[in-house]
Amino acid sequence: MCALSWGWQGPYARTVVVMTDQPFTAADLAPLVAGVPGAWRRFVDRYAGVIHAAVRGVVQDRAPTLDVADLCQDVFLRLCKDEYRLLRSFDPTRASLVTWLTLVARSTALDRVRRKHHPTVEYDAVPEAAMAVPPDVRERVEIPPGLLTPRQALVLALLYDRDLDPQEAAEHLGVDAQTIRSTHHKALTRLRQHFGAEGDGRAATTVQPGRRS
Amino acid sequence: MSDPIDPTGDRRLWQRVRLSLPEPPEPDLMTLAAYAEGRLADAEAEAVEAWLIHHPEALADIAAARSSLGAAPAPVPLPVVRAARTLAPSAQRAVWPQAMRWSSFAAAVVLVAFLGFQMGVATATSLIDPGLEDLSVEEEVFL
Repeated sequence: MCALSWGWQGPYARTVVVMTDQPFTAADLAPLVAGVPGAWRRFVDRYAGVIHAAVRGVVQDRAPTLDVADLCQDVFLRLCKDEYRLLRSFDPTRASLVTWLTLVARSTALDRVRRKHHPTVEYDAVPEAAMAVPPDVRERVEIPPGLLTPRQALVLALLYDRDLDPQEAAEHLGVDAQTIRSTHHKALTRLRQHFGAEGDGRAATTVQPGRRS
Repeated sequence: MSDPIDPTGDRRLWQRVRLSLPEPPEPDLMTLAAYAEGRLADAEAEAVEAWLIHHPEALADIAAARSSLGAAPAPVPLPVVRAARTLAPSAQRAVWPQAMRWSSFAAAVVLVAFLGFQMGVATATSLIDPGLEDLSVEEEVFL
């Protein structure tokens, strides 16, 4: 059952705690998209907390000046727009509604942030790689398909492009840090073996700009 | 043990390699949600990760979605909930019948006012010049 409790959070801020102890199943979703009276209200009561938390996370990280309440309204509008077109696309057999709603909320909030706000990032928060002198990327190195798995390439991207440490990368991918170190090691070994085996062939696989192979 | 992350050679090599990696189309939110929960088949997960290589910032969204699963209910300002409740398409449709009711009421008021005005005019005419009517009656009788 959806339980509401009243309370005070901060000065003069009346809040309502929305319990999400019961999943909103496909059986609940059908009357909602069919426009049954009261279904939307139950949906809002159950998932306002999920949406609010997701939006607040984006605002805190990217644009503290934006109004969380406004962005939440944008998310709810997107969900019920065109007779719940977006909600109709939800497939309960693929993921839970909480996970999907969090992505919808963050994606909506990020769109708004990009449109209306030029984010300012603290100096310390910028990865060192982003501030460094751009690498000499005039040469593009071709590698054979399958040399790196997407997961290995993604780990390299997180460590080298985003300047994350193995622990941070592990949290992003939902694995442990040792898996990241192992994947990183295997990826580098493959790259080094490939280019080491090619020797002078490395130059042959180098592509000059404007001469894509 | 941990592999030392070479800040120069390996990073530069990766940045040059990355340029040659193809960027697959952006997955939809449903696919990303399934990826976050680890429900995708290997091939689908690899396609998502191949896209994430070019958009690693999306991993923050996926991590947030993953952590939202077990999160405790968060307090929500009441105005947010109240405003959201009014957004249902059925509530939007209800605006039109309400407008119709107000229009009907306004039309009824206008009609009553018009009829009252007409009755008033007729009464006033008969009161102002009653002899004229009597005269015409007499003339009709005489003729």
